[in-house]
Amino acid sequence: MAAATFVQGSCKTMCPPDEYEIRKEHNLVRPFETSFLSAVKCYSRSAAGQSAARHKNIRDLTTLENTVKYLFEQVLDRRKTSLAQLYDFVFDRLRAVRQDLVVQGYLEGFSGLRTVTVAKILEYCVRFYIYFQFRLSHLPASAFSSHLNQNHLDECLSQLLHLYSKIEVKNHDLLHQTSHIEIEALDLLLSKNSAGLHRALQLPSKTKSNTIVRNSIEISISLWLGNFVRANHIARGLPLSLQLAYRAHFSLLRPRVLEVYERGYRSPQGTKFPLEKLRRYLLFDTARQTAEFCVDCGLSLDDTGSSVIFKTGTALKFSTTSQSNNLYDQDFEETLENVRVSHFLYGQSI
Amino acid sequence: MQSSWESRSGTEVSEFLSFNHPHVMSAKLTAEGFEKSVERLVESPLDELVILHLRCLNCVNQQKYLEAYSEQSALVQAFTKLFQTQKEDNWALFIMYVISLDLRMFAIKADKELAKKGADKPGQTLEKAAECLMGLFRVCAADNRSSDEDTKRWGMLYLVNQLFKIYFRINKLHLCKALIRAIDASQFKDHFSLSQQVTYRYYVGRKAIFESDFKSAEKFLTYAFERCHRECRNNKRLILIYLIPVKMLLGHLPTPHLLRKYDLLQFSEVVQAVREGNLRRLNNALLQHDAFFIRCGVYLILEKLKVTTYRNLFKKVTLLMKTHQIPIEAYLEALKFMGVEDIDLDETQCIIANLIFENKIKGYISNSHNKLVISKQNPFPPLAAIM
Repeated sequence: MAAATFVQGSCKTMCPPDEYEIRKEHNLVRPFETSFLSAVKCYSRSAAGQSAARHKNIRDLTTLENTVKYLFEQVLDRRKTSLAQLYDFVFDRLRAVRQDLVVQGYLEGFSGLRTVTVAKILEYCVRFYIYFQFRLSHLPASAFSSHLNQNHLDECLSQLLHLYSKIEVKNHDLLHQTSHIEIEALDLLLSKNSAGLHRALQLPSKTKSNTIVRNSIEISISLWLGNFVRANHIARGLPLSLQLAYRAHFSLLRPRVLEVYERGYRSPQGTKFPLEKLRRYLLFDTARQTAEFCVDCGLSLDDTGSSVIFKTGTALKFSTTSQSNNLYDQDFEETLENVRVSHFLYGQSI
Repeated sequence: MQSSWESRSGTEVSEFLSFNHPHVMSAKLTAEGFEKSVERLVESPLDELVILHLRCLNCVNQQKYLEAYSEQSALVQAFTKLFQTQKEDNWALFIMYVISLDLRMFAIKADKELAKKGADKPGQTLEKAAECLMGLFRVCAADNRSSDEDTKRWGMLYLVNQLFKIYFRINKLHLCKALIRAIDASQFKDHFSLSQQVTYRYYVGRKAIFESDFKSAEKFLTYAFERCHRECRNNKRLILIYLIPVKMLLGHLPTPHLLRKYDLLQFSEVVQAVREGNLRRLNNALLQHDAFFIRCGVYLILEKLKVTTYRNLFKKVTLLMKTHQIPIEAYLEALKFMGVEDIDLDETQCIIANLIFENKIKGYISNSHNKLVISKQNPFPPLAAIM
């Protein structure tokens, strides 16, 4: 996109007046939006429109910042409805915020302190996706699309890393005003192959020597070597947002972990492996979930139902219908219930 | 120059357009008004190339590499158009080789210049150079109507290698995939010159390492090493930096003689540590040369050697215990003795389970007795046989 096609937004309300009128007419106003003042611009695929008046419908940076604050403090914190419905609304409105950032060119060039503000907004978004990935993972696909959430998380992360590299080159000191350390560690923990590790190993030594980054590297290497126990152990010492991200990533490894233990413990006569022990290794909340997962993968339980049987000759099968993506954990739920959502999203609960 | 062009002597013309040739030392070539002189002496389309080349030389003499790159880039683009019009003819390939090489060299220098000025994006000139070379590549690849002798497709591998060098430098390995596919599909795959094949296999081998495809990596890098000319010691050393760790992972340790011969003593401590099953020594060895290993991109494979080291350590412990049912505590004690901090039974069992999963130990863990029950026959199969 050439610089010439970037628009300078001039809208100073959370929702452009034109849009509010149209939506009111067509009954498209959400329950959260009780009046014009609480209406928030929604996401629309076609960013086309009369280019002359377009800037009126695009919010300027200060307004975007305030919109995000409103969504977090007045919608999420107030908690007037279910988490899933809150997520739906805020997900869409955040997407519109990010869209407004893109069309104004904020993700491309460097604009000094404003780029730091943009980075902060994206950091809030990243934490938003991680928070809800964790809290809604136990819902069926019709209520929460883990896939879509993950895609947006990935996109946001790569946009952020891009911004950090610009800030680093233009004005290194400004980097300290961002949460780049936390985000670099997050990116590493969520990386699906060794490319993330390769990148992390080449970070400047000042970044690498930071405890959070160092631990994240150690966790990733442990996982790469198959040492799940060590990885889980180190992860317990991570800040909250990183722990959630770690668990989200770990759930993808559950089939592999089960495979390793099955192979390592199986005997011709059949070994009984306690579900409670396996539960800890697989990071499941209850033995029952663990049992469901094992059975879904083709394993059998013993008569008491408290152990799974690992016997030579069993063929494991992995499908997406099993519990594999369920991140629910009682302890974490309690912690998160007691943390104000906006605090977490602003990065204050580290 | 004109006569070489007329006689279609590719090598001669290429010398005149190359920065490796001594003619670049001559001050007379870039004297005032050289452009008019060229136009007088040389016919189109060659005159444009010569002028651009001399302009580039001018910039180089003033150490203005960004501008030199600009001129060279224009030269390559002019050549590309010209090349395309030469039907059923490939004598100009020699020219293509030298101007492509120079283009990449100037792009590197231009990026260094930009970096000093605080540039936005590192490697942006190299990226542009890659696009330029892709233009040339398409001309070569599309030439499938000409006879085998006259086809421009012979130029494909040279360009692919230049592009590999760029992509590796700017860390965009995923762009190599399409090029590899193109070469694999080519009927000339095994008939390109040996030196081009060696270079090609070196990069494809390195890419395989990055993707954890160690078997393929071994295949490619071994070819490159064995076919690389004896006298290109530097290149042989470069190949070994990647071949040695890969072979170690697959169960073959290098001899001290090899490491000394190619000045790769950074690996000797690693080799010794793995052989002994000495984790502490391995960790220290990795720490000692971590900058070197990370820079070359082999640090992660060397970390993976920990698994081999665990296997060697556990084999020793097992032999000492002289039984087929070894308490897990024995392995835990061995790990603690090796300086592994904060380790417990859970983690020890996890490490052992992984070794069994990878077929490096034949046996199973008895949960009720907390023992490793090993097979009576060959419980620690030789690594080379497994991989």
